[in-house]
Amino acid sequence: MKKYLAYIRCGFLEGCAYRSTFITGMLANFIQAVVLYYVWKSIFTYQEAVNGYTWEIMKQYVFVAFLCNSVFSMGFEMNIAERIVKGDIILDLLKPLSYRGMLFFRMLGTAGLEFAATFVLIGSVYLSVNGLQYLSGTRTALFLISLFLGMGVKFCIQYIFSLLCFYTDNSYGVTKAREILTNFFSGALIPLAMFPGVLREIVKYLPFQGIIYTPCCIFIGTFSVEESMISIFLQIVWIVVLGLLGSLLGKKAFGVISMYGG
Amino acid sequence: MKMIEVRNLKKDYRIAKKRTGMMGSLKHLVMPRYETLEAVKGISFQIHEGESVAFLGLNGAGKSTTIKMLTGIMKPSEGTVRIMGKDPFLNRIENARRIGVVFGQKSQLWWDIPVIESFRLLKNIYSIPEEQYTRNMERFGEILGLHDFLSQPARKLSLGQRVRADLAASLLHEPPILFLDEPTIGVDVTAKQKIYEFLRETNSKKKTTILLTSHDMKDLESICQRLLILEKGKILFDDTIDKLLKEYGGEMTLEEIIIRLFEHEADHITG
Repeated sequence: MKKYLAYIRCGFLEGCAYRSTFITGMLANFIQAVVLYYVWKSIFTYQEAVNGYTWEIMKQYVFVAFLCNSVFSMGFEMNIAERIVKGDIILDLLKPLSYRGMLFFRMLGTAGLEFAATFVLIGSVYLSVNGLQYLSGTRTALFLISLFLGMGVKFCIQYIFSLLCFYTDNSYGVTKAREILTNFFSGALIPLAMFPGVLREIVKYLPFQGIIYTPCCIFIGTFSVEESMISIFLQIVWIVVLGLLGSLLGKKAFGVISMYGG
Repeated sequence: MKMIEVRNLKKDYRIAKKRTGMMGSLKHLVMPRYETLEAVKGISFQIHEGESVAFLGLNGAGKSTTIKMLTGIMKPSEGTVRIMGKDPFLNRIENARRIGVVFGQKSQLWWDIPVIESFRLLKNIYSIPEEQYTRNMERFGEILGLHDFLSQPARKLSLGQRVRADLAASLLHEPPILFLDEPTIGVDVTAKQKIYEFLRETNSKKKTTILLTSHDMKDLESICQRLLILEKGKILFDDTIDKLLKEYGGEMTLEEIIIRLFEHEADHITG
């Protein structure tokens, strides 16, 4: 375990290495969250409720969803994909530890700083908009569990997508496709409850909702405590399923490593 | 004790056969054609504990491919590899503990964080005891001159500094087997001398088995006793360097012999 923890440290140091990238990234995050807030505000001035969602709920959802989506963002994923395409992955495979475990902890370290800063930033924006009126201890505790599990689901999906880079050279395409897919189906852009009938049904059977929609609903309170427990259990099931799938595909993919020359 | 045992090892690559020109590229997009390239065509050899062996061959002879199979990161198409009695591909994690690897063209150091942090990470990954870590860091630091740049991130190092740091990183856990794939690429003469001295000492004192590939004859002669010449995926010569020199009358340098050997081989194939 100690060897994996050491990767958190290095990941964190790596995240700190570029101060200006970090600051501009935060600024971009802030602007994006504020823009989303005003877009929804204008939608709700013309319509009282969309599929049961009111402005009261939405002005919480916007910020909580944003916070959930800020963990394990795309930058690091690109890095992994490129290491596979360029062949630098062989250096990772020469270490006496699980490749996937190493990635996870390294990513946790890099994400730690970004998440902490986003938490403070978006948290204070949330409080200045909504105040303390909606907060509840139980729900916040369940939310944090669900948020962490959501990271797990996201990581499993990212890992599976990164394995595609063993078969194609287009690392940008693979990561971008992953991002668009998760952003849409996880509820990062639009709460899943607002999806039209058939799509809403389909989304229920996909793993993506666990990344953002589930923790958001738990925090805001649109899920009852019982519903929250069930969806947390579902997140765990998805982590196990996707984890096994990742191991299976990983075994196949590592067998095709064939960097001729370099 | 047999450290490395290779029997009838083969590796085929499937490579895209691209056609030239605009029409060719379009055709490839619609209907790609592939051909099989046999990079390693069934080689067998054994390496015992404490040996230092040089892999020599022209570009594309299959040296790097063989190293990648021996280190357990690439699956052989056919044949068997045993590193200290175990299959390195199937026991990747266990195997990784017993070997040290340097790829001269790649670096295992973290690009954006101080070199010393990379070393600290390795200490944790391999669970190196504090005492061993300090001792090795001191010894490597002195012989390879690492002290000047340990606090710099790897991206700020010169090529020679980077290779020296990579070499130290690969030996921190005192592996019984060391693989070096072109470790002196772009390194200046004085730094090369340091590297030779360091490797000879590691080989003689620690009984570390060394397998090295290089295009520099000086590397081979300075570090290795035994020579394995690969040509188009097959073994052409496998014996001591001294024996090769004697066979050619002891008058020619190793470089001259190698050039003649490959020319002769080329004649043999075309004629």
